[in-house]
Amino acid sequence: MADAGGASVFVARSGPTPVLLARSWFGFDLDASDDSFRDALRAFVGEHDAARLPTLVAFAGSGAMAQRLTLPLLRARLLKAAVETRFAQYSGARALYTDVRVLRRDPAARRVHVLAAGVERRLARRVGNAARRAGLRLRGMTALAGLFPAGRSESTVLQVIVEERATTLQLFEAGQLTAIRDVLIGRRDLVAAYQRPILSDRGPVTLSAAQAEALLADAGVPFGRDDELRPGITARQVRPLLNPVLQRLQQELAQTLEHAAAASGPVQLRIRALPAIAGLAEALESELERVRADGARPSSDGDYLAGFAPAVLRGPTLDLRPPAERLAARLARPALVAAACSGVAISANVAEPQRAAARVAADAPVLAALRAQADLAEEWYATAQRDHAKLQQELQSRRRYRDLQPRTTPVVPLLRGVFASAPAECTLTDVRFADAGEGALFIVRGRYAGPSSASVVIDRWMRQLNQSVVFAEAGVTTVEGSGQSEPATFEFKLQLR
Amino acid sequence: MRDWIELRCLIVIGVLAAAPLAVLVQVLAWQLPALQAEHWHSTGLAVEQRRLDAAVAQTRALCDRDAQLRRIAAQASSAQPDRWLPERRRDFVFDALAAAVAQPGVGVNAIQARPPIAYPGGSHDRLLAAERIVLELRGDYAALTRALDALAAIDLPLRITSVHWRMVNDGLALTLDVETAFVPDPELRAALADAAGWKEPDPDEE
Repeated sequence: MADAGGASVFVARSGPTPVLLARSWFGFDLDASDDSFRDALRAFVGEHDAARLPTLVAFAGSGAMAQRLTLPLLRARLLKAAVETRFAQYSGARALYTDVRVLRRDPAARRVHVLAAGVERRLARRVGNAARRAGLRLRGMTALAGLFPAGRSESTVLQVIVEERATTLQLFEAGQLTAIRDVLIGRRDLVAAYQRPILSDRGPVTLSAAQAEALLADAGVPFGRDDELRPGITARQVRPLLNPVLQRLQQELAQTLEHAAAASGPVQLRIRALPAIAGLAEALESELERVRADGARPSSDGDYLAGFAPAVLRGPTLDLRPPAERLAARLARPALVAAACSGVAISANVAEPQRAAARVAADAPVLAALRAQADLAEEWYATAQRDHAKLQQELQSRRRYRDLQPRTTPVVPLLRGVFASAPAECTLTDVRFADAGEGALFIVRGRYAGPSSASVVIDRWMRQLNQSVVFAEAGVTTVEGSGQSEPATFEFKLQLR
Repeated sequence: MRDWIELRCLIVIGVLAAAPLAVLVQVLAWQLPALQAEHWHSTGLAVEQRRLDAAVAQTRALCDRDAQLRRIAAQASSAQPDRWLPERRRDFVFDALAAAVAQPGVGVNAIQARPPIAYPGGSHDRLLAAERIVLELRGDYAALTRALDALAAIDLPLRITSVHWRMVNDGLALTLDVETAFVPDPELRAALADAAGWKEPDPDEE
């Protein structure tokens, strides 16, 4: 624990994590002295090399409050509204930042037990701004009374935090905060007690406020001591001045201890003062007969804070930061991830258009060649179509001409056949062939001279011709004479099939 | 409201909003057009490939059909050869006929051409004409039959429409009417069609 100059700012260091304790009421007016507060804080940060370290602001005293409340079972938004309504009774018209942490739900009774904290908005903003300007990395704001040490303890513990004007009593059962109470007796009362007249060896002595403050810082509560605290002023002489304050505080503690012991059995007592007051814990415990200290008390306030500071920085706690800061804190990691992912995606794909263009350019000759081949093929196809059409036309013309052409009769072989089939006694004097439209016709005239009758011979010749597949009909037209005595003449017709 | 206006909060929210927005902008403004161009390019390749394939397949199919048609035409031609000349070749026909009948012992009295005719069934745009020639020959039986055989073997689309074989005082006379079919030129075709009384087709009816 260190005091940041004259300002009421205390920073407890626990490894790399400082906890900033902001007291708004002691010797420092945030409304009036932003600059001095900031300068003092900056000097402290420089002196303790605390720049850029994650920092938790814990508010104590007026302007901040923490209470354990039992509320109806409500949704989160309504729960917070209920807490704000409850806190408005204490804060008056001052606007608060509030937060609620559910400790236990009791569905049967339709109740929820919560730890609620609030801090004046103005105070939170100013302390936050000052801390950031001093170079601290603000990781959270909470009420000191809402903090409790990390780790679980099965026993019941009463933690007493003596602050400037008030003392917070936190009761833990099995590691869970079960009660918080503020007592309006604080360090300021001890300073005021030191300012009362002291009956020293040299006569009555009255200390100024600064002297009293210095004496409390140096000597604390001189419990069990008899040494000289200041020239002519011994511990025995100042103890009566402090007794009324200590007794009032002891009474409050005794009541709480009685109540806790009745409910949960033996209670461990842990007394801490912020800032530290030497001998205070021993003076209070000595008078509390029913209470036995567990002997495992932290030896200093710094150690006390070291117990919870890393834990509250890591885990969920009451967060009294302005909503925008809370939202920013909640979204910072997703935003970082989104930015990183976008960066990766963009950088991974930034060359894709060029690659695509390169692929297109590489394929361009192929496309051109393919197009040329396709054009050529289509040209060939068109030529082939023209040739085919021409061929079809030619074949059609040939068919048409063939249809137009009249039948051609093989006249010469037929004529030679007729000559060859003629009986030896017959002489063909006139043979005509005409290919008329209705059919080809041979008209044969001749002479016959022989031993047989001309009719018989010609008739036999006709039958022979009729057997031919070429002639459809062979018929004698005339036969004149028998041909036996003198030549007979004949004429017949051959109708072709 | 004033509690919410805090620089760090605004920065964080800005980063949170801007990060995906930046990716979106990059995708929309740079990546998408490039990918679209590449897609179009790929589509162009595919289209050209399909066009080429289609043209090749069509050409191949057409060639197959063409070959089939030519085969059928060749078979038809071999089974029934064309018996007409593709154009009018009167001198060639005369020379061929004269050469065919110029056999030993054959006297050629006359080779006479008659006006061409159109075969029936034709039309103004398509008709088949015939060159008509009359041959008058004299000679003995053997010479005339040789001449007939030569005419039968002549490499011309010859059609004998009329034969008159008869005995005359000093031997045999043979008169032949022959026709050689040919495809007339348009002028002759029109003249023959008009002579045959075929009506010219009305362009409006087509």
